[in-house]
Amino acid sequence: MAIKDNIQIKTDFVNKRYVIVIAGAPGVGKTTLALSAPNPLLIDFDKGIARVKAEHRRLTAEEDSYDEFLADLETEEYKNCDTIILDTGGSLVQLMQPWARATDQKAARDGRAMFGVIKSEFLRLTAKLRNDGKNVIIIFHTTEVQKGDTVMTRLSCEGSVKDIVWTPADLGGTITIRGKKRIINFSPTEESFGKGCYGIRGEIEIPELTPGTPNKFLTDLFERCDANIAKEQAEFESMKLVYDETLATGSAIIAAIKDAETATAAVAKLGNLKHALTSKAELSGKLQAKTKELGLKWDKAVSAYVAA
Amino acid sequence: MSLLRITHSLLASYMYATDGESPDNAYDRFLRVLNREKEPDTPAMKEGRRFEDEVTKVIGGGVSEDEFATEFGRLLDGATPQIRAEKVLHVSGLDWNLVGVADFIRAGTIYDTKRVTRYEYGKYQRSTQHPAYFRLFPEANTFIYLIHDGKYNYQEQYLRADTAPIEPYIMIFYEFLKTNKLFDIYQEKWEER
Repeated sequence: MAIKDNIQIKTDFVNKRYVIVIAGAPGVGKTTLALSAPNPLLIDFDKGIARVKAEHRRLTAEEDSYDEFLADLETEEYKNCDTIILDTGGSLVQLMQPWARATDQKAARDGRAMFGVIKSEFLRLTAKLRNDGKNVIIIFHTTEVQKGDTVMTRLSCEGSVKDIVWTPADLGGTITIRGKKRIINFSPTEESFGKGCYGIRGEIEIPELTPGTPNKFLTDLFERCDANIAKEQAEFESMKLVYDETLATGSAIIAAIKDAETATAAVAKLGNLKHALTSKAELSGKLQAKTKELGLKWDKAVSAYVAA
Repeated sequence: MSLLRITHSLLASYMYATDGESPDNAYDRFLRVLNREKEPDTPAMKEGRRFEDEVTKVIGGGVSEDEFATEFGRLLDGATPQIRAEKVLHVSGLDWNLVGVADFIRAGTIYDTKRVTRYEYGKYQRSTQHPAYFRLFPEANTFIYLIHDGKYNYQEQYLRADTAPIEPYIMIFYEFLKTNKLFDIYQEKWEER
């Protein structure tokens, strides 16, 4: 049974794991930032770990093939880590190409079919990592695309993985350097994509890592998410109770409508309900559907429903 | 003072026609929309409606043979479909009646299904739909586009806090109509009776 009530959901949030997309131009510090997540295992498809300062390096697997990577997902190191970092998503897709051609006959002949296989495998892979209870960080280089007068940054990746990767992501941000500051933006802008959630949105400055400074930006961010989720859940729960009760009461009022007279009376009853979240709009939609079904229309002149 | 009807579709048609990268016929199409000329439904429009109907069927407890519509229908369990709203806005010294129909709403989130032939993440980032619908449904704080491209389902999510208001879009649209001597046509065709 996968259906969960509010209490079960709340319990699940205690051990919430996050999927996050980190994008940016080469050299802005994406890998170092990713390594600030809790207990990480870096999957280095880019062979770029040497560019990370020694004190910030963590457990790393360098992969020469996709099969090698899949084998590493069976190791104790993988089982014991809390966060898995895919660095980069673009290189992972490149590594998947010979694997896809070897495992699928159609993919071996047809490039489009190959990217279809990769897309499916990428979805399976990210679902597996999440189901294994890992935070998942997917790093992407960015490329610039001219769109009208605006230069937009896009994830650098072949095929459509760059489009599907945002759906399971809780958070996504693009790193830019402004003066001496490094900024990650979790909100979409004219120039770049972003995805905020759990109260995390907009620009956040990434602290400078001087020697000896612990690298824990994402660990702290995840803790903020946990706290925000708990706070939002508490606020939402009280509103949701009113919302559920109002929707149930309002739906019963609407179900009892039989003609213009009862429809007009229902408007007053619905107006007297205590609303929360979008209960007012939703009951309005249900009323619209019901009166349409009965062939009624609202007559402003007499403030009542009449036959259409 | 007259009340001018404005919809996200009209704004979208205008923006598409004037973004500089659209096909040549985009401007002609915008003029037809401005003139409220009825056009026959294209196969794409029919497919979009069919997909949305299938999603609605699943929400209502029915069974769909479309696995992608089923996936979205299950996600939207308990949502209310087809909610119409309107709101009078005062922009550039005029009264505009913003009108829209949300595909689905549930507990503070607006959902809109999109059946497309080609999809790239960020397709709806510049859309006027979520700014318009956040104005129409002030209690909603999240807008999620549920997109299907024939092969996969995708989602694009926008938060109220990250979304620009709709009024500047209307202001720019009004300036465009005046500059291009189209305001009289608009007023004639879109004035609320």
